[in-house]
Amino acid sequence: MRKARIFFCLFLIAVAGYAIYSALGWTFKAKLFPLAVSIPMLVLATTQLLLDLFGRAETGGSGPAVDLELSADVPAEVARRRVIGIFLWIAGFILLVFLFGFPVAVPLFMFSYLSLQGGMRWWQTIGLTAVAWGFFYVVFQRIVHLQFEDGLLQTWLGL
Amino acid sequence: MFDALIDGLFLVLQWKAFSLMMVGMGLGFVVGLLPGIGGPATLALMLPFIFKMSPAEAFAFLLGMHSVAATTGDITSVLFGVPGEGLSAATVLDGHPMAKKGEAGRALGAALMSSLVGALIGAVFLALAVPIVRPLVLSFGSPELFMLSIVGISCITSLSGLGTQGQIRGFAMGLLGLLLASIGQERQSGSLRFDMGLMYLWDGLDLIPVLVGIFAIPEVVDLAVRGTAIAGDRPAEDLQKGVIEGIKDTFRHFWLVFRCSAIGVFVGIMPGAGGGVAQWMAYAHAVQSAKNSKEREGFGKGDIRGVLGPGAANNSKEGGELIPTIAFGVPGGGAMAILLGGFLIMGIVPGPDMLTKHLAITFSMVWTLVISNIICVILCLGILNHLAKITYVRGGLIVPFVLFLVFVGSYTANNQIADLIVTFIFGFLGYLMVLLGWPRPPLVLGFVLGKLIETYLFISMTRYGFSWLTHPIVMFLILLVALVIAYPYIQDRRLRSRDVADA
Amino acid sequence: MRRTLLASLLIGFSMIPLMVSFAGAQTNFYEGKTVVLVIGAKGAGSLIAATQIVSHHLGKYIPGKPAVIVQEMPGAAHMLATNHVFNVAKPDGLTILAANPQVAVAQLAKVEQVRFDVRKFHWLGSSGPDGVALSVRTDLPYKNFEDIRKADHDLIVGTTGPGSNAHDFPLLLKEFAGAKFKLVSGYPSNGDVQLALQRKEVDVWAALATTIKLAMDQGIVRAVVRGRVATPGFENLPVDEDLATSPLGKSIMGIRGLPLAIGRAFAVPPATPADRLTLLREALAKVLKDPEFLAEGKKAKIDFQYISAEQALKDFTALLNQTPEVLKEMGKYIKLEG
Repeated sequence: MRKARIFFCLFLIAVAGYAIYSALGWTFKAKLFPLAVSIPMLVLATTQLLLDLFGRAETGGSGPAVDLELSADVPAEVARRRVIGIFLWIAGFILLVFLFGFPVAVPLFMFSYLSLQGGMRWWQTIGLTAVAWGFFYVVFQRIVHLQFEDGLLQTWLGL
Repeated sequence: MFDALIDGLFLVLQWKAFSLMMVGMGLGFVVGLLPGIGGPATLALMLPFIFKMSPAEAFAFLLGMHSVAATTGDITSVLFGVPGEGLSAATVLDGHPMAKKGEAGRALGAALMSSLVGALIGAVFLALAVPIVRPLVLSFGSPELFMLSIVGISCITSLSGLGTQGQIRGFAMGLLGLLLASIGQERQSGSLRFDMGLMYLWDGLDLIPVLVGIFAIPEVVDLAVRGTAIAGDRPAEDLQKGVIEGIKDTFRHFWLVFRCSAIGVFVGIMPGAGGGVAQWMAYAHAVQSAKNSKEREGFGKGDIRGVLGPGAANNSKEGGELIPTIAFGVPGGGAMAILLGGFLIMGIVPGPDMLTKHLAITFSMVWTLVISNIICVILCLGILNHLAKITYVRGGLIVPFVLFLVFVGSYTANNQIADLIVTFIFGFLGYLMVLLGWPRPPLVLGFVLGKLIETYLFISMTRYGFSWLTHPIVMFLILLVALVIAYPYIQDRRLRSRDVADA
Repeated sequence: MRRTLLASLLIGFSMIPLMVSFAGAQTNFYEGKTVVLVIGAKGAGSLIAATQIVSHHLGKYIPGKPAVIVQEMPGAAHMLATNHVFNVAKPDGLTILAANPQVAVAQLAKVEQVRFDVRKFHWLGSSGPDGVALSVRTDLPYKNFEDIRKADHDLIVGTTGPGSNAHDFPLLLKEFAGAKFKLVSGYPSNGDVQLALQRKEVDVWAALATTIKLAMDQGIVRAVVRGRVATPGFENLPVDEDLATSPLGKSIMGIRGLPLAIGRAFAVPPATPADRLTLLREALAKVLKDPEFLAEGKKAKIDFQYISAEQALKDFTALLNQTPEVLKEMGKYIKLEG
């Protein structure tokens, strides 16, 4: 956790540094605001980094921020696996959309996820996928008439 | 004016206008639930339908849809942690944790009731403000608007954790938000900043993909990790009681709800300030109402006031936003811009006429806001309990559904596939922030306000040099800024001494 | 486990042709379909309103009576939408670009993100030219352009940023016609400039003639100079090109004004089949004569006028045909959004 914290600070410092570096080459008006923002940000991020490196360890998983706290009921190993897993699924969904466009990607994704992760009987999976797809089709495409771009595959195959 | 008030009411109650309003409401209900749509993009798709309607009918339809969407947007925020509207993000912070604690019904009831109260207060303000609206808006020039956005940003201190590290992180995130806002074309000189050679970034990052990513994805991840239903392994709450409890909460904290509604209206009136800010200021204000430091830390983990504040502000700002739109033709927000488009098509010119010759139409809009919200709340009460049951459905089923909502929502904001990648990136960032204790609200606040702050500062300096600092309203606002920044520290002192006294 | 995976993938993939077959073969191509008018702007504005009105009636004149909707794809001053329709959209006659010809100036200036060629688009025609006008607050004593030239201090001009009508029109008047202007830019939209006008923060405002007319009707401003395109109500005003004190200034102003003469043009991607192209061109021409359509235009105070595809293409080609010297000078003043 401590390593992660340090990396995050370094990441912020890198972002601020990049901003300052790019901004220096611009005209006055264009660089004023970014510099006024990124220089203090660099200072703050560095301060936080020093605090994390040399300050006392903080009690509790996250600081007393006015924000969400992730649940801690699941053992760390399992949690890590699941986190990586879900991010992979999300990335997979986006990839599906790129390749096939929304109208196809949505039922495909639903189906795959429910089969592999849902742990239900196969007919339940199909049923739910059909419901989701039906909902998507009726509401988004028929009623609201939204237009969804074709995926790459459709373009390549000239469909 | 009184006749116009009554005339306006009758315009809405006419058979055709009323039924169109109901249709609009029905659409708005569905559309508000689904993130991404319901904003300007879908409203724009509804424009073709208004050609054949009279102005009162058209606005009953559009406004009915829009105001209901603002209310139901809170529903997905509470249930899934997915901001149903860009403007329901603040409700996620406390609404969703409540759902995770099994209090979904209560949170929904509170969100709904505070939305209604907020909408009513907003409508009343709109009606009352009619005579003074023009001088009021005209007295806020670029310097005043700049100071107002600074007031907005100074809320960061209230949104960050107490203590040095909390404040450092809060400010760093606020600055990051401001920096992200400067991506894109700079308005004064036209030069491109941080666009990394991508045309997609010319106009900067869009709010919806960022917001949906940064708030919803960490929730989804958390859900997947826990492997349980949203509400965990609790026994089902007595949901009916839950909703009623939430409604009672609204009246228990009525004064807070009123103040947050006022904030919403006021911010909504300011052209260009954008409704996105109102909910955060209301949330910060709700945090300020914490009575001791333990209560303060409860925010973000399921404090009912964190739901009441933004819930009210979201809807009251609708009334507020209508004011500059109707009186000046300057849209108070994205959806208002579409409404303006509707005005143009109807041949109605926003301006003094709307407040004199066409006053009845203006009031018909006020009545639409009132009536549609009341009906919406009554109807929703019936189904809220059933909606709350979703939090007891297995996580494995909910996850794909929520992801589908998240990404379709993110895409339909601008019809850009690239937005999905933005959502993913900010989703990842949001997850890291939550994991490591860096607060998200300041980032969002900085992002929403960034362009405004820069633009109005430059215009003020170019136009007035430094003399604008002495404008009376500006000086008042400077004091207000100091107050808002200092408040958490003052409060902390007081609370600490009270804690010591209590011990 | 593996069997389930295989089965799911198979079923999943088999859904693809199912989706695709929805597009299905039909006897009349347009029947049951949706035609999309893509516009590179968002929110309010006369361009969007005009496109909405066109979309309302276009379906009537296309055989098969398809639904016609407007899709907003804002970004990079219309370039995102233009790039999209030129390169990505299927050339099947179902996607039409509601263009802002200003993008031709971007092509002229060789902006690197331009990935289209206005001469290769198949233009359907235009629903009418746009005039532009410069106006002054009514409570100020300046009644015509001469007064502005002789003013004793710089008048404050509110603009939305380089590349917009609000910015470039006064800028060129300042550089080449001796107007005493100080440009204050960065206002988020024309509405905000108008508000600033009423607050007396700003003295002068330039915008599309349609927009200025609305403000004039409210007594907020009086128009003083116009662009080359004469729109009703503005004919008697001096033209900016005539006020230029040098031939170079005149050419640059002319270039700036050309896209407006082309106006609200519509185009389909280059590979669109010829028969559908003709169909759409005819449909557009008929729409612009439809009495209901014109009535709605009148209600919205937008002047519709048919400009043929040939004329539009001619104008675009002329626009792109400039000498290097003029281009170089132009680059100094007309900075495109980007």
